[in-house]
Amino acid sequence: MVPTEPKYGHTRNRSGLIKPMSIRSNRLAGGDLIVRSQKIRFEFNGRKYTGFQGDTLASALMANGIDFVSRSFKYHRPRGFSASGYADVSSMVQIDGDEDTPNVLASVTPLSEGLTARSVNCWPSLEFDVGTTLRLLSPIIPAGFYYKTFMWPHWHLFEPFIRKIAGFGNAPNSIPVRCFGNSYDYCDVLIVGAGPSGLSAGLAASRSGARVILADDMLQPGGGLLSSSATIDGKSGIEWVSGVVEELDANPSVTRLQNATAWGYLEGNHVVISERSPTPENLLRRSRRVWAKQVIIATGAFERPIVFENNDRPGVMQASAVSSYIRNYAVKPGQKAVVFTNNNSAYRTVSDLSRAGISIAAVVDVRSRVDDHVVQVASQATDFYQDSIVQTVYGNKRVTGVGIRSRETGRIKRKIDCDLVCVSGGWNPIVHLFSQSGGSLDYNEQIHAFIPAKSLQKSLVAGAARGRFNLRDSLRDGFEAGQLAAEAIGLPVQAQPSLKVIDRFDAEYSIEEFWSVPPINRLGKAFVDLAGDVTVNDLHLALREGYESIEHLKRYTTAGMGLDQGKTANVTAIGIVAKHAGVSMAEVGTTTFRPPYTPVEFGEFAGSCTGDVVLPYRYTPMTEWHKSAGAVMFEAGARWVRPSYYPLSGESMDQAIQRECRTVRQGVGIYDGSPLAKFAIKGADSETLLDLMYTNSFQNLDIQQGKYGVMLYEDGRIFDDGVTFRLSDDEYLMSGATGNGILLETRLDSFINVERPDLNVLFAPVTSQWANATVCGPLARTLLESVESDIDFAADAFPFMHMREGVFADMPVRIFRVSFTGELSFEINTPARYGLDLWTHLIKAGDQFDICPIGSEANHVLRVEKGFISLGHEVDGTIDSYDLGMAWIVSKKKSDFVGMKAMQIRRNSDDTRQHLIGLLPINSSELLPEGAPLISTIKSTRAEGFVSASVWSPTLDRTIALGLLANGRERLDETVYANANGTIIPAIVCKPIFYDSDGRKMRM
Amino acid sequence: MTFDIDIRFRQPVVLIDVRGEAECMKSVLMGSGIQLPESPYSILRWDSGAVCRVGRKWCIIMTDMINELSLIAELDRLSRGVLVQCTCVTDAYQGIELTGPDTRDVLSQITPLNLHELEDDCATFTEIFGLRGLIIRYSVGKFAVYCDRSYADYIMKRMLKCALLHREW
Repeated sequence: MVPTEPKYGHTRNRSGLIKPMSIRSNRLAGGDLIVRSQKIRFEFNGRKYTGFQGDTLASALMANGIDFVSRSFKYHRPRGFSASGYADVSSMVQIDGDEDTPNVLASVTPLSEGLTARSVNCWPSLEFDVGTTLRLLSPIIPAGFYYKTFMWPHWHLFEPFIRKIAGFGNAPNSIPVRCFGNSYDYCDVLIVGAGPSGLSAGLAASRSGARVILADDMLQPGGGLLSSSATIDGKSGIEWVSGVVEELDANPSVTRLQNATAWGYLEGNHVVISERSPTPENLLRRSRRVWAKQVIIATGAFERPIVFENNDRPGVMQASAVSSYIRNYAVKPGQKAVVFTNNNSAYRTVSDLSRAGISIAAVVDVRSRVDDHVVQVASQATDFYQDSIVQTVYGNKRVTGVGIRSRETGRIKRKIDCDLVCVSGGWNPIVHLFSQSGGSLDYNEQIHAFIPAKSLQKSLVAGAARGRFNLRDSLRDGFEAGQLAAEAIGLPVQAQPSLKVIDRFDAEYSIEEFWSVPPINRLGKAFVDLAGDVTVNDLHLALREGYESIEHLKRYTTAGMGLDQGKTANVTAIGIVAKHAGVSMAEVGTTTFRPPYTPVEFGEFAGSCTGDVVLPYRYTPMTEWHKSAGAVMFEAGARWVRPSYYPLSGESMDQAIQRECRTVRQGVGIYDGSPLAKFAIKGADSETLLDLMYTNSFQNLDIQQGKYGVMLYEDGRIFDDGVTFRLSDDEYLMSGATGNGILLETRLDSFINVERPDLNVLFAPVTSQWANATVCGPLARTLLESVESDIDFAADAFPFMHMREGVFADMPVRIFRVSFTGELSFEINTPARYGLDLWTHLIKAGDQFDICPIGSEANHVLRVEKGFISLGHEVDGTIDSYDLGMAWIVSKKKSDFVGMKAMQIRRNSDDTRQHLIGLLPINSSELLPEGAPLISTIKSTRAEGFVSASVWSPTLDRTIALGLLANGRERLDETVYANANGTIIPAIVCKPIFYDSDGRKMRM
Repeated sequence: MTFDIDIRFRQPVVLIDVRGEAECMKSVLMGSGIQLPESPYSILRWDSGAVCRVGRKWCIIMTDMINELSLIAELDRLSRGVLVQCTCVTDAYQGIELTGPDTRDVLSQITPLNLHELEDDCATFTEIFGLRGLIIRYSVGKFAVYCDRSYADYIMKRMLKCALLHREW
C-alpha cells in the first residue's frame, strides 16, 4: 500500500499514523513584503510547512513557530535566528534537492515552492544531537586548542575525528540543474547598496546621465527604510522606495541588481558581484565583474550585539531584526520580550513590539541617563531598568528568561520571564568593501564605531556606511555622493531635491560604549562570534597567552573569521580587547577585511568553464578522421590534441607503436604535423632578424631552401629549434616546436617591436592557416609521384631541405623536405580548408603501398633511433648546443645573437658539463626509465646525469636510450647505471645515434 | 529560458592580414581599390567585403571567397619591395556570428572587453575565453567573432553554453 502523503501541517509518526503537528502560528496581520494570496509550500527537517511569496526561509520558519534551526560549529549548542540578512550567521541550513547547497543562511534565502532545507551540524537529528556531548569537553577545547590539547601524543591521531565533526553542511553530491554564469561589465558609477543613501545616489547619478549599476544584497531594495515608520514627502518608506525604483528601472542606463552581493573590491575600481537571482532563470548564480569609473559604497550598517552569558540561545535577537520580522514579514518572533540596549535605536523596536501586541516585560538600558523621548517609549514596557544589564539568559533550546542586575553590583537583581531578548549594542558601518579597496578607517568616538577615512581608489562612501545613521542625513548624503561621482566623470550635476522627512525616531543617535557582560560562572559562555563559537573567555585567554595584536588574536581565536567575516564579531572583539588591555579602540585598530564578504560558491568562479569545455583543446582539420580511425588522442603541448597511436583491433599500445615504426622504416607512413608553430616573416632585414634569433647564420640561403636553427634564451640555454625556409627575396617561413608557438610569437613581437624596432621586418603567425600531412618512409616519393601534381619529386629536382609550391591532387600545396623520423620525408602543407581532403587522398593513394597513419609515440621512437633532440626531453632547460654535441650550429662568424654572451661565459668556466649520449642497456630487453638518474658505480649516490628518452627500438630489436651524462662524450663504452627507484640497470654509453648515422636515408 | 540570441559559424571569407606603416598600408590597399579606415579599431564596409583596422599598423581585409586568388595576387604584386606584409589567413581563423537582442549579454560572458566602448562598425582583437580573438560590432544586435580555427569548436561550444543553448554542463 502506498502511504498517503501527509497534509500540510501534518506529520507521520513512527507507526506511520498521520497526526497534526503542534505548530504555533506566529503570523501577524500586515507584512509589507509578503503576498498572502500566494502560498508557498516548503519542507524543513522532513516536515512540511507553508509560507507566503516574499518570505525568506527564516521568516517562514519563524511564522511556523520554528525558532531552533541549527547547531553551533564547535559546541553544538542550539541556535536560532539572531539577526536579519547576512548578519544572521547562526541561521545556516543546507538546501537539498536539485540545487543542493550547503552553508546557506535562512535569513537571505527566498522562499520558493518545494524548497527543502535541513539543519546542519547535528546528528542524528537537530533535537537529539550526539555532538552536544562536546559541551562536556569544552574546558579542554578552548581557543587555539589545536595547538595544545591535541598535540600529545600526536595531532594526527585526533585530526581525522576533528575534521569529521568540524565544518557545516555537506558538499553537493550532484551537479546543479541550472548552471553558473559569469560576466564582465563596465559602468560610470557602481553603487553598492540600495538603502536610502544608495537609492538617492542612484537618482543623482542616473539623472546626470551616468551609466549606473546598482547592486543590493537583500531580496528587496530599500534597506532600513523597509522596516521604518518614517515618511518621505508624505509617502511611507516602502512607497518612496517603489517610486525611486520605478524611476531607476525606467532609465535604460541603469542596471539594477537585486539579491546581488558585492563581495570583493579589487584594484582598478574592479568590484566582483555575486548575483543570486540572475536572469534568465536557467542561471543559478552569476559572477559579475564590474569595472566602474566611480564606486559609491552605500552598504549601510550592521547592528551589533552586546555579549552576555548564553547570548546565543534561540530567542536572543538583534533589536532591528525583530523590527524587520514584525514589519516586513508580519512575524512575531516571540510572545514576551525583554529589550537590552546601550543606545537609542532599540527604542524603535520597543515601539514595534508594542504595535505587534508582543508583551514587553522590560527594557534594560545600560545608560544611567537617557533622553526624554526614550523614557516615553520605554513606558510601553512593564519595567524600565536604567544603568542595568542583562547578566544571563535562561533556557536551553529557547529563551525562558533573563537575569538582570545593575551595572554596579555583581548579583542578579531580578529574573524576568520572557521568550525573546532584543539586543542592540549600537551600529557598525559596513566598511568591508571600503577597507578591501585599500581605504583606511578611523574610530569615531561619537558613534563608537570605525568609519571610512581616506579612500585609495575612486570611491565614495555614503549614508550609514560612513556613520550617518539619521534617515534625513542618509538621503542627503547619498544624493551628494551621486552628484560627486557624476561630477568626477564630467557629467552635469543635478540639483538635490528637498525632501520632507518625518521620522519619529530621527533624534540624535546616542550611545554609550558598552561591549560585554562577562559571565559570573567560569564555565558560562558569552559569545563574541556565533559563527565560530568564540567566547569572551577565549579572547581573555588569548590575551593572557600574549596575543596582544588584534591580527594575532583573530587568528588564534578565529573571532570574526569564517562566515562572520567581521560583520558582527570584529568590532565587539576589538572593544573587549581594548577594555581588557586598557587602551583605546584606535590603538587596538582593526583587522584586515578581505574578500569574499559573503560565501561564494565555487561554481561562480568556474562560470561556463565546466564539463567538456574546462580546457581549450585545439584540433586540426584531420582530428575527426584520427578519432574515427581509432586513434588514442592526447594533448601534445599548447593544448593541441594529437593522435598518440592507432591501435588495430586486439593490438596493444606497444604492438601498435612498433608496427607504425616498422611501416615508416620499411614502407610509408603519414602523420598529422599541423600543430607545428609557423610564422611568415617579411622585410629587407629578415636575414638580420633570423641571425639575431638563431645561433647559426641564415645569410645566403637560396630561395626555396631551408635551414635548421637553434634559438637560445638570453641566458644561453636552448629555447627552441626549427627549420626556416626562404620563400622569396625578403620573405621567410619560420617553424618552431608545437609547444612553443605562443612563446615564439611573443618573442618575435618583442624583438621586432621593442628590442629592434629599427629592423625593417614584419611577421604574422600562420600556424592554423596550414594543415600539414607528412609522408615519410622509403616509399614516400613513390607514393607522391603516384598522385597528380605539377611538382617534380625526383631527388635531384627536389633535394633535402628544400621546398616546392604547386598543385597536388588539385590542391594548392607547399611541400617541405624536412625529416623528423630520419627517413625520406615530405611535409605537405595546404590551406586548412583542404586539410582533410589532402589527408584522405593520401591515405587512399597510399593504400597500394600499405600506408598507415602514425602517432606521436612512433614519432618519438623514430627520433630517438635517429638521435634527434626533443624539447622537454634532451632540451631540459639547462643545456646548450655544445652539450648536445651541436657545436656546428653555433656560428663562429656572427658578432651577436640572443644568448651568445651568456653561453660564452658559461663555456669559459671550468664547470663539468653534461653531454648528450646514447645508452644501450646491457640486458637488451630492459627498458631504462625516462628520468632515471645515471650513476657511475652500483653503490654511488651521486647522479651524474639522467635518462632523457628511452624506447624499445623495433629497428634495432632492442632497448635504446638517450641521456645527458657528465663529460659523456669522453666516456663512450663506459658502463653506467640507471637507478630506477632502487633497481640498478647497467647500460653502455655510446654515441647518441642508433640509425643511419650519415643521414643518407633522409637525404635520398 | 535561454538568451535570445542566434550563434552560428560564418561562411568562409577571404581574410588577408596586412601589416606595416599606415601610409604604406594605405598605398598598397589603394592600389587594389581598397580604402584603409582612418582610425584604428574601426571598419570600412563595401558590398562584398570590409577592412577591419585592428591597430595602428595592422588591418584585416575580408572579402568574398570568389576574389581570393585575384586579391592575393594583386596584393602580392603591390607589396613587393615595400615594407607591407600581406598574408592570407583565410584558413587561420573561423568566424562566428552572434545576432539577437541578447547578444551583448552573451558577449559580456565571453570577453572582458568594454562592450560599451565598441561602437557600430568597430573591431578589435581581444580576449575570448582567455584566448585571442577578433570582435566586430556591426550594430547593436549583430556581432562577429573571429578566433583561431583550432579553437573554434571549443569557443562555439562554450558560447552556446553561455547562451544556455548547450545543455552539457
